[in-house]
Amino acid sequence: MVAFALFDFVRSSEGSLDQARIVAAELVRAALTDLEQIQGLDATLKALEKPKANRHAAALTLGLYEEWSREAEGVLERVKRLGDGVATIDGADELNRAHGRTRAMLSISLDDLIAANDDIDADRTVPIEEVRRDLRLKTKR
Amino acid sequence: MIYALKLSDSAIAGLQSLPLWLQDETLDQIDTLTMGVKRPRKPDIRPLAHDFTREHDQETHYIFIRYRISTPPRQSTFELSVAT
Repeated sequence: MVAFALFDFVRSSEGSLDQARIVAAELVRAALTDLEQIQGLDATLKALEKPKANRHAAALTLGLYEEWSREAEGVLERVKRLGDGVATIDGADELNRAHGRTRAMLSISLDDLIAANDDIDADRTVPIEEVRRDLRLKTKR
Repeated sequence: MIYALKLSDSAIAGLQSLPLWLQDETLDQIDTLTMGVKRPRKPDIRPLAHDFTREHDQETHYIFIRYRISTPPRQSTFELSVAT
């Protein structure tokens, strides 16, 4: 993100904490807007339903989320550097949560998703009742 | 509409990576996910997604669930990922 350099410059100037906070809030807003655009694009692509292009389109879309996640991490790092935690910058809490959710989503790779689909198609699945029963047994121990 | 809820192997692995209290809450979330969902008119292989967060001992857990709803035999299958 080009604006990182601007933030770093403002932050390094003495007595400019307020200005740095303003720039940080803008970075946060920009990151959230970027995510909305990616999600919009993602939804549009899914609605097109072109099965042959699915894998390629999904890989490209995941790439967009990955790039966004890296940039959001850069923004959050800078917000934290301001010293008061993310709560003091407008929207930073929201960005923090969106970043966590995106990381969770990205932790399923495309190959994992395809493998899971194959498992589902071949009925290599476990009913939720069985999973819950196992969990209860573990909790009792 | 009542669905048969099934978890894929990787969803189970994701679930088991969670603390026990959160595994229970995640299963509750999965249980409620398909409530009120109408059966698709044609087979639909597009995955749907749901996420939620839980804070515990100053740690935030992000749970991301992908799921698929099938036409007869009316089952819903889940894929789960976790970030802490």
